Amino acid sequence: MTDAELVERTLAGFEDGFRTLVARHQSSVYNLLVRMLRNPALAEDLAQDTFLKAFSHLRSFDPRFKFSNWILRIAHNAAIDTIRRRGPRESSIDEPEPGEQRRIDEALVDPRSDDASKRMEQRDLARVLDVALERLRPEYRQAVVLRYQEDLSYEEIAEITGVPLGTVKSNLHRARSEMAEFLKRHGFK
Amino acid sequence: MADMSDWDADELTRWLAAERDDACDQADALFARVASSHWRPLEAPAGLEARIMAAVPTRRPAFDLAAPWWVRLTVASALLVLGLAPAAISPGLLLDLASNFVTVLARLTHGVVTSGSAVLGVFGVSWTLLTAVGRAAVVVTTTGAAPMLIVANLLVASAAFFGLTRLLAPREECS
Repeated sequence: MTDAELVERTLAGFEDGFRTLVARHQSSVYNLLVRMLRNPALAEDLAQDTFLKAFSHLRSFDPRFKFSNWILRIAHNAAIDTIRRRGPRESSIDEPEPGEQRRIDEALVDPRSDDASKRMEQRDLARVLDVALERLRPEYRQAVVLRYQEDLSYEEIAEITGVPLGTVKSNLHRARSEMAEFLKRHGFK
Repeated sequence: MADMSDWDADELTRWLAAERDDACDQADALFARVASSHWRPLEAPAGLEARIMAAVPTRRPAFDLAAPWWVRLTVASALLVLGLAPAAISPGLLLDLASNFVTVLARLTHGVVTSGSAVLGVFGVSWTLLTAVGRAAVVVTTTGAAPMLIVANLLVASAAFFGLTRLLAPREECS
């Protein structure tokens, strides 16, 4: 069943339609929220709010568009509201948060050492990418997550985040540059 | 975590080199490959779906064919009774009911028309008041130096808006 059919089924009063939509999209929504907010408990609460909001506004969903983009847009707006309420707590790439340096050290095994196996490098690279992502500004983080984890086009990202296409490209460019810089500083060449 | 066969250290090196050389399209494609090999999205925690569904307000279907047999039987019986009822009513009673219905409908229409005319009356007064205020505003803004001041203000505001838009617009570095 397509997402649009599931929406119709939900609107007809069948709960299982919405349950399937939640099962299909909960990971994308949760992933975006955790990456943006850096707080799993808060992300879980907002994921719930996101789906409840979607449920109550389901009649306004236009089936010509993708449900996944619609729900990610709701999640994005919820995260932005929360970040605005919390204030600018995000750190710059040059200022590790307290305790973060330990996490970086744990994640890193010197990749230049001769005995670092490929598996170790692979695992460590994933963890270092996580840390590098966490240190980006929220708008960069969301662009990276939507582009490289949700595999969305620039146009779709612009539609979800409500920013111009040029800004999406700039944000991604800057985000990748900062992540590359971070990796280089930690021994990846 | 990706399979070992996905691992290609060269991709990482090439991505970092592309970033250094500002080769945007290449860097985008290479980072996408690095990310798909090594970097998985986070899974939703167990129980999130149940939590969401527990919070969703229950909405009953209009008519569920999969409902229990006794629900379907009750609905069918109700429909049957409703369908048979008119046949059991005598023509005289039916005429009485119809005339009562017409009377109620006429009263309702009269009430609606009366309320409508009252609303129109209030609207007429408001319209007169608004046109008087509008005329006064036109007189004030077209007398003496007022038009010049208004035009000057509009020009300054437009220049400020244009300048701010240019200043705050993000610079596209990679298109």
